[in-house]
Amino acid sequence: MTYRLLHLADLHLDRPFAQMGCHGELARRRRQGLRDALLRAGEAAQEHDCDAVTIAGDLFEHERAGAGTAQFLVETFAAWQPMRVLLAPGNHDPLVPGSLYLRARWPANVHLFEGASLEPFELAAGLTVWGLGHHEPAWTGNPLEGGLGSDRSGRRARGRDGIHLALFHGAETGSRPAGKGVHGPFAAAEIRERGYALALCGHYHARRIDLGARLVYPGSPEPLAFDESEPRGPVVVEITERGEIRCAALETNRWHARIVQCPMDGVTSLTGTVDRVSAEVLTATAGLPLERTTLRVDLVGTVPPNLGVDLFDCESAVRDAIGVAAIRIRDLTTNETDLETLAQEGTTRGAFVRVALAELTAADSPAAKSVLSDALRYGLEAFAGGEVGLR
Amino acid sequence: MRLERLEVTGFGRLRQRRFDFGERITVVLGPNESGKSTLHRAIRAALYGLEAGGPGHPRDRSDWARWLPWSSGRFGLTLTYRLDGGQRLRVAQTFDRDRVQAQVQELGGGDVTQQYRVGRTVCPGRFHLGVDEAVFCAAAWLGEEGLQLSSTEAAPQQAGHLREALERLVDAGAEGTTAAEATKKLADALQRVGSERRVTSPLGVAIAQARRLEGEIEVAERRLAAFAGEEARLRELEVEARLSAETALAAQRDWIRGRIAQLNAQEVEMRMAAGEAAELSQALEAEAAYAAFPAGNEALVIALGGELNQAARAAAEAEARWTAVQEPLAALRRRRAEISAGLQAMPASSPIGERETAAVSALRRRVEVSAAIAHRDEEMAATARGEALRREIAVTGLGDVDPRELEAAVPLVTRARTAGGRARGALSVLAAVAVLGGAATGALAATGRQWPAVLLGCGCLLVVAALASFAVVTFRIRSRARSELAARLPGMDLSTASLERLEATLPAARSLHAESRQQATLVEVHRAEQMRARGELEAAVDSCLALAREAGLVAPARPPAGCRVEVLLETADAALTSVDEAVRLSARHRELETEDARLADRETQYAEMGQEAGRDRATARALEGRIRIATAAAGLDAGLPPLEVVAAFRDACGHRHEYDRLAAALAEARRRQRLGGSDLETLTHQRTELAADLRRRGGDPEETVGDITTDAAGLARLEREAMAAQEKAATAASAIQTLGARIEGLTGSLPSLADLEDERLTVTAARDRALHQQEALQRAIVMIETAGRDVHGRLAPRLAASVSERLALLTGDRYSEANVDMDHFAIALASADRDQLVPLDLVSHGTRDQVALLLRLALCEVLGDAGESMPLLLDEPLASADPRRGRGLLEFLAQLAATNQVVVTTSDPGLAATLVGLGDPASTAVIDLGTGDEEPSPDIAAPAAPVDRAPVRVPRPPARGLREG
Repeated sequence: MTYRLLHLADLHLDRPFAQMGCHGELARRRRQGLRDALLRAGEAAQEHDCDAVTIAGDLFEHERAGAGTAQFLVETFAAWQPMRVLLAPGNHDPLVPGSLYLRARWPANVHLFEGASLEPFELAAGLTVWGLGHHEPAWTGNPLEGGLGSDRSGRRARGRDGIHLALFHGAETGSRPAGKGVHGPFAAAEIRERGYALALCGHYHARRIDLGARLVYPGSPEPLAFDESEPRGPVVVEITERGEIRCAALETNRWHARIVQCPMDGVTSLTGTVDRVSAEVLTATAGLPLERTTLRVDLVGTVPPNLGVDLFDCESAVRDAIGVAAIRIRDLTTNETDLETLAQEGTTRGAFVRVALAELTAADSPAAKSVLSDALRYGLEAFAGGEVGLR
Repeated sequence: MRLERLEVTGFGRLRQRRFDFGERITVVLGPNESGKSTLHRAIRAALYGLEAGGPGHPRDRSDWARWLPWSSGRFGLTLTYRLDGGQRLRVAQTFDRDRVQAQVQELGGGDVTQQYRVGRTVCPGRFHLGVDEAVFCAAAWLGEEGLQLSSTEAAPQQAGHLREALERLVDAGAEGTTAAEATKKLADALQRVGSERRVTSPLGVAIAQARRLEGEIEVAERRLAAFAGEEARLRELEVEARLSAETALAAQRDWIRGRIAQLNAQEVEMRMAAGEAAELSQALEAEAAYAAFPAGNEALVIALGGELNQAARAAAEAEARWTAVQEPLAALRRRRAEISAGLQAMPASSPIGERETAAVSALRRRVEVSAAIAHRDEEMAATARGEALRREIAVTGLGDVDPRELEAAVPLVTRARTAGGRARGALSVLAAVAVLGGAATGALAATGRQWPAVLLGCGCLLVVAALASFAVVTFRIRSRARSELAARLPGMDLSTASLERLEATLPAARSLHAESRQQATLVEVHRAEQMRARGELEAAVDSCLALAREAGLVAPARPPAGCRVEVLLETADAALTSVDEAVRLSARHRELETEDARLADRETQYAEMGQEAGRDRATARALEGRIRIATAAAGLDAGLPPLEVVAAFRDACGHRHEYDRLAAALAEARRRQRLGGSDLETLTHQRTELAADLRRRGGDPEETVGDITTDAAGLARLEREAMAAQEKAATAASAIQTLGARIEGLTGSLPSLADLEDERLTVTAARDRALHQQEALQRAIVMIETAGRDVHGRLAPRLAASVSERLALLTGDRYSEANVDMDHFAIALASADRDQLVPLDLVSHGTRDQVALLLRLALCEVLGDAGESMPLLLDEPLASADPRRGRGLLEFLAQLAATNQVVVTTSDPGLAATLVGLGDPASTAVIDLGTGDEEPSPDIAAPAAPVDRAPVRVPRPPARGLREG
């Protein structure tokens, strides 16, 4: 008999979205969007006739998740009965005292992996899911240590029958994105070595289905950062009687995120800036529902010294102009004036550039460099006679 | 720098034209739209290139488009100029649409284009003059408005404009803003950012909101924590209720199991009790004979039996001991009789003890020592030795001589013998010398050698004389020694042979005399010692006699005085021997008395043994009597020995006790039979009901459970436990209901921490951004102010110095010095006629024009760093000036041309003629654009000779290198 399960992870319920330029009602819509994503996952599981749903951690964010979230999860999971729900807590929802996992009264179809090392749960005859839960927000142990392929003393051993799946929240070290935290690091090769047919993982927000390495990261069902573009959604895993495994990724996300590069060459005014940004955004988001799209626009290129762009005003203007849900603009442009030439001037402006460059060179922290860089930019804008644009 | 020639291929309206410039002054004359300004612009384009548009700046609106040749053709020009150092360069700029290029050629040298390239633009002016195009335009390229000469504004406004222009030039070049304006713009931006105190500003709002949200989040977190605590409490209560219910159920199950087990045990007990009662009845009948046996005296009889047994054993042992000591007792009594006889046989005397024994020993040693000394014969030996020595002395022949004279004679004998020997030796040598000398002398004389013979003879005589003198002296010494010896040893032979013997004998005689004196001394000592020892011996004898008398003995008589030593010794020995005997007898008496006392003690002990045997026998007999009395009522055989009576009594008592125990057991068995109060059928019914109840509570009656409580106390305890657990479960259920309702009510009203967190992140991001902007703007302001102070502080004095140097020369010392305000370049002049500085707006128009022009030149020098003199390009400078003021300025320009080349455009031929007239004809050129002829028109041709005019002092250019750094 073929067994199907739906795997998802990194839902991050109750996540703040201020860093994506969402606040107030928009942020609440985004959080509701995360709950909707879970409901859609359940619907998808039922549509695909799945027997179980596996969730590999970061289901919610412990610091902000409240009773309402617990109630929502309990009711949602209860509505999925008789479908089983297997929960493996991650680094954002660890099994610490006061955790929702420990406070909620879970329905009978929910199984919570509470052990700090992999422990078995027989999902069906001949099909065992090994899972664990993080017990601290910064756990750095190897999740594959213990469990299948190890005896009680931790030494590796073999000899178990049936199909074994691993379910945990961890960082596969071979494909860790830059800047991503190392929580539960493991090597992909260990999955096969220890005898697991597939590792159902969570932590990385980008989808990765690698049956060669026996590894599945479904990614976050909705974009949580500007660089998390679609398609996004859970993964349906099908296990045949003969042990064959097939995976099918679903596209269920309702929200979209983009990073847009906007060249500013030739722009000489705030109006021109708004027009240029709007045009670039419209091009980049063609076909997307703008009311559910969040964007980051990076202004690049060289601009004249008298072009002072107030980023806040620009964001508001672009948002009003094209109706995008949220937009953040970063000014990465460079002044077309040659600073070295300016620094050779005997004028006050030349002296100012020299002073600013000297302080920039002497600055020892990124924050101080940022302040001085902006101070230089503001000063040159002021000397150029234009309005000083606040960055 | 001196411009020499400009060749225009095409630039604006000019096409295919060549212009040669005067060394000092060039007047470009022509009507409006004849190309005067184009010429100036062409020079600038040659030095700095031409702006041709770029990103955000369309080409068709650039300078390139403006100065496109009016007619089709090439777009470009070539400028030839000479530097102050003599180097000549030619710059060729081509601005064609499809080919923009430039080349700088050093005349007489090679291509130096790359030296003057900045990016894609070739701008030799920037390198030679040290200033960029903007500064060049502002300082050296002056249009009509440049000097404000024709302005109708009031003087203060003109001065203000000049100051502002200067400040702008110093701060940011001609196209920028002043530092003050830049600071103002930054301050405006800072205003837009706001501050914490301005609560309506973005920063103030953000900070206030952030604080509010911090508080709200803190409250929300507290509420959520409290809610989580309530939830945890609810979970605990649920667990507690479940555990209590389970505990109650377990206790109930245990109680039922215990009750069932109790019924089982009761049935077994009933069956066992019936069997036991039957058995006990039979046994009781077997012991019925002893039912009336008087077992009341059992303890007494057993105790008496034990005592009798012990007393009989003690009596037997005492009797055995008494029998064993009979023989030693008889021997003891015999010995005591012997001792008594011995003591009676001993004479009665006073007891003598250890003191007398010690005294006898001491006196014996004392007598022996004294006797040994008194018996010595050393005196006689010493006397005999003395006699022998005297005889040996007599043998030496010196027996009569006093030993003291012998001591003195020894050196005299030696001296007499030595002197005699020496005298004889001297005479022998003398004789030999005389004989041999005489013989030799004779021989020499005989051989005819007179002088050697005389000399030898004289020598021999001298030697003989000396030897003779020595012999005489030694003979005299020997004679004196002999005389003294004769006096000390009268009668002694003093011949030489005697003296030799005497010398050999004298030491032996001296030692013999010494030994003889020593022997005499020894004889005296021995004699005194013997006398003292005899005295001691006599005293010891007296002591011995006294001791014998003290011991009560009869002492011998004391020997007479002067008796022999042996007599004294015999007396002392007799006295001491009698004392020794008395001591021995006294010791024997004491030994016998001691032994008798010890034997008397032992005899007493033996007698006590006999008495003890008698007492034990009496005790045993008494106990036998008491036993018979105690057992008299038992009906036992009176002929039995007492101990057997006791054994028979105990056996009978055992049977009586067994009878009693069986009777009690029978009663107990019968009681157990009656105790259940019900029959077996009832028990079975009860057990069935309990099993059903156990099943209802989840238990299995067939299950084997260890440690089942069956006693009543245990079952009661289980019952209490079950009730307590039930009450606890009920309490927990009630609390769960209450708490659950409260939690359900709270769930909907809890704050959303995520919403608050989102809002806080937004606000804090806005706050941080504003703070960042604020800091950056403040830093920019501070840096601009710092830079401004620095630049103004350094430039103002240098500008003042530069202006002052030319000012005094050009105004004929009317104004000797210029002062430039450091902050805003307000200019004041020091006048020879006034004590205080005169502000620029109070001086005459002409002076103001001159100062303005000088300031521009000074700025070029200060801001530039190349050290080249800058050509001045003036476009219609006197278009609206009154003649007097125009004349003054022209004179000033003519003088200034000594240091800086002047290129002036004008449409006024008169003005041109005036300027040409003021200049040096050899260094003045006129370019007439109106005719297209480059030769000066006849009206304004440069004079062949200098016009008559006031002598001009040509100022020296100010010192170079004033530019900062």
